[in-house]
Amino acid sequence: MAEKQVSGTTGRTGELQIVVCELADEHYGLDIAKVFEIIRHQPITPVPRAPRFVKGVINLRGRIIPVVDLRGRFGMDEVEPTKETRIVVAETSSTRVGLIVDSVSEVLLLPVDAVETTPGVASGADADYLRGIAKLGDRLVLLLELDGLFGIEDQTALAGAA
Amino acid sequence: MQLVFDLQPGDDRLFTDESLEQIERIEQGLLVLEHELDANVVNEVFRAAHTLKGSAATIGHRRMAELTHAMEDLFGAFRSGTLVDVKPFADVLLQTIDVLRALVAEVQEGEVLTDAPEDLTRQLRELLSSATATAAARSTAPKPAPRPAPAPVQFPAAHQSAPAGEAGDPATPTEKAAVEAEQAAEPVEEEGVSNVAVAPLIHRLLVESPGGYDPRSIIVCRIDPMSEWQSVRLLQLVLEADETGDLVASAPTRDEIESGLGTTLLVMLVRGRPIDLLDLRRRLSAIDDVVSVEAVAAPLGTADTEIVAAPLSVEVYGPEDDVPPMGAARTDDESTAGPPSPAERRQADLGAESRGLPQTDRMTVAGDRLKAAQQTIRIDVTRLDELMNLVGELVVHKTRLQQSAQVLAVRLGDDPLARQADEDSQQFARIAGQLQDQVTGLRMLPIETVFNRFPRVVRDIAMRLNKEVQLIIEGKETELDRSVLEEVGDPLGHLVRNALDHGVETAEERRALGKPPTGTVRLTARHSDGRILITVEDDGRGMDPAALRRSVVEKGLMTREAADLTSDSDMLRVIFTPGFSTAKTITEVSGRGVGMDVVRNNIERLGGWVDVNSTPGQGTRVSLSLPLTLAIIGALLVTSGARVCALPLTGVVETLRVEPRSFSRVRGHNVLTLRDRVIPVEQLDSALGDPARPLATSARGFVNLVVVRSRGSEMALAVDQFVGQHEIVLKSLSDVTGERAGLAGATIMADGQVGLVVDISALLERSNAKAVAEAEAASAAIKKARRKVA
Repeated sequence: MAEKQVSGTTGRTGELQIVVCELADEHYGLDIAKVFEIIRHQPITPVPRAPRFVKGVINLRGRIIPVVDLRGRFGMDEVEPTKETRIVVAETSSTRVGLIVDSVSEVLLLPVDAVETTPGVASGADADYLRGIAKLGDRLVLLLELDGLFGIEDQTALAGAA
Repeated sequence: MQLVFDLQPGDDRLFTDESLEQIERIEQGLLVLEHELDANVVNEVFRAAHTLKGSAATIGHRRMAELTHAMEDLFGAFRSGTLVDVKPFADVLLQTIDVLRALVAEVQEGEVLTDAPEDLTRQLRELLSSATATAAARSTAPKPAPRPAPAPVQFPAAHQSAPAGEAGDPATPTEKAAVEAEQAAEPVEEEGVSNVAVAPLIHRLLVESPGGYDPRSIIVCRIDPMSEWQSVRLLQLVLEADETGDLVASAPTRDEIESGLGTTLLVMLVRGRPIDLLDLRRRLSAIDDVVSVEAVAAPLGTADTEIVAAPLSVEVYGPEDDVPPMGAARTDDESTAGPPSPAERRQADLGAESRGLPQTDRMTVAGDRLKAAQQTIRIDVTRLDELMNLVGELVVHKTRLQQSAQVLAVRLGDDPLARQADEDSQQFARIAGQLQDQVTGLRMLPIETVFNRFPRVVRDIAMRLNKEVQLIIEGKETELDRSVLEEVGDPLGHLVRNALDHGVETAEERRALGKPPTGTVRLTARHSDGRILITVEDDGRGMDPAALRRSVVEKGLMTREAADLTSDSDMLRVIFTPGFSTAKTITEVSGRGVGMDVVRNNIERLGGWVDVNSTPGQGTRVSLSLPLTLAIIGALLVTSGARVCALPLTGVVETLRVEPRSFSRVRGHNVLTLRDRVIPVEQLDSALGDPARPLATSARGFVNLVVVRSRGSEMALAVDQFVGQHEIVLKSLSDVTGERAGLAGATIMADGQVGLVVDISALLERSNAKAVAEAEAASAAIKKARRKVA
């Protein structure tokens, strides 16, 4: 699993470029270097006996990749896809995976100083997938750590699916 | 312990592949030599050992280099005729082969995997020295040595005077290096290369400048003997090397050169790997009157100087039939007598030819020569797989394009545009088809790569079982896809071991039976109906259906009634039942009856089937039929639940439309009676793991069924609709499901959607083991009832 570090991986030193997605009314940020592409929602082929939050697989130009509902992963109510629904295709350390989000709002350039490490409240079992929290005016953006998003078992479950 | 080798990233694969090839060559050769001392084979194994030694030394794999060196020396003794019988050495040499494989694996693993090489090296050396001593003692008139130096490819004097001194060699690394550098003069003559004069210079360099831990190279420069400015050129070379590179030492030294020493040969020790020195080599070649510049890695550290042999033999490739011109490069040959060897000619030729060209073009000349000599390239298999993926996509789109063209023709009628589109799509389809054939062909390998391991396996097992067995291999050039090839080795291994262990009798038994004492195991492969048919056949004791019948009943695998009802040929198939073994004793070789079960499982998983024939007293033949490729398979497409599923045709028996009332219920399961067989019925999606749902029926009230079969059991899968029969490209879904029960992978449909490819044998095995058992019980009950009625 990748080490948790709050440092610029893209853009100029001291800055972090993130893709901001929305889930329910919360904002989540993904390091743009890990985001492969963003596609519209498309029919997903369900796979029997897959982990609950794995909605199935899609064909991404000849590669078969698993698709994960982030709402499901975070224990939120799952919703029907809308016109805004997007699949963010991202790269974990072991595989390529599609993440279903309510919408993708913007790409932000963040100063690294704006990112705070996860407060104690958010720590615990779920803290693995939080890389930090960025304050932008009155908005809070939760920075996701892709490799922490899936447990070891999920990682192996996802690995090789592409 | 972490091992670090002097390799560029990515080169480890190349090293591994090439070394394994050489090792296999030696192994195959040894198995021949054990029976017959064929001079060609001796030369081949000698060369292979020599090459291995060279490449091991190049990357700094000291233990491997030493072991291969000892091996080479031993082969050398056979080559020179000092030794004539390989048999006494066969075991230790084959053991060496195994250890070498482990040593090669160390390069990829980066850690020590075996501690045997030191011991084996010593063993080989001791074997050789005692054997040569015996041979010498036996021979009343020892052959006159060609030169005062030790005979070719024997031990340097140091080893002979103190044969046991290898382990605790008191010599300093530098002294050892000197000894080995002297020794390097031997392979020089062995290989017929003209460089005898080089060895002492390299020797001197290595002795004078013990190594550090930076990569170093030895550069050998030759100067035109007709040059009037020899010492000037030498000085130019040394200065250039000092300026551009990082000169450690040279022979002759700069002082010697400056004092006016004229020579045509200059050897320099420079920091950097040969590959890093391209620029320096180019600059050195550009100096007037320089006829050749060669560079090769010098050993890291001090202990290992194997490499000194390498620049003398492997640097330049080229056609061997060129007439040797009286070139400048031959001037230092005076010491060698006789006609120039091919390798020598190559060097001489290259030198002379490059003289006629602008100086700066010399490197290119050598490069072009290399290219011309290289007919094959190595490609990473993942790139081939990627290519195969793309071709698969192309083929899918080909079909779509053809469909579009047809639609266009219908819509537009007799329109030039529609005709053009139709012609173009046809042309495209042809090319795509050819491309698919070519790419599929690229992935095809002869089954030889698997078969080649068996001569050794048979030899070892036969020896252990104290049986006399000859192995006959036929059709080893038969090609099949790499994906199948990788999977077929283990099942075949089981079958061969079984044939030896349970099939072939001991020599005494065979004699008593009036059979030839040596048993025969025959391994064949051939293409048949677009599949590959592999058979493993022995002329041993065979299997007796009556004995099998008794055995299954005793083991409780079948009731006496069921066993009596089973035909002889079906009875033979019980050997594929889990836990079945007829061997009276559990042997070390083939375990306890798990083998055949595993064989059948593996083969059926690949879309193949296994068949067995046997005649008591005459032998057993097991036949495997396998698809040529796993990447593209024929499948029946159906819809089930919200998705398309593909059922590989190899497992599909038939499709049926039946009325729901033709089902009967057995213990809560639907079953269908079909031509006297009772087959369980299950909805495909629920069989795959989706929640159970009622049977789907078509508008007219029929249920669509696909009867599938694997390992002799059958079931009927209820599907929503039949889509059709298609060629599909199987893609990995590996572990997306967590447990991928019942799925072989996924495929992309013509419309871009993902379809799931069903693993019929796993589906039957997992999901319905219970239902099948129940159905079989029901079936037996019905048959029994019928018999009573009759």
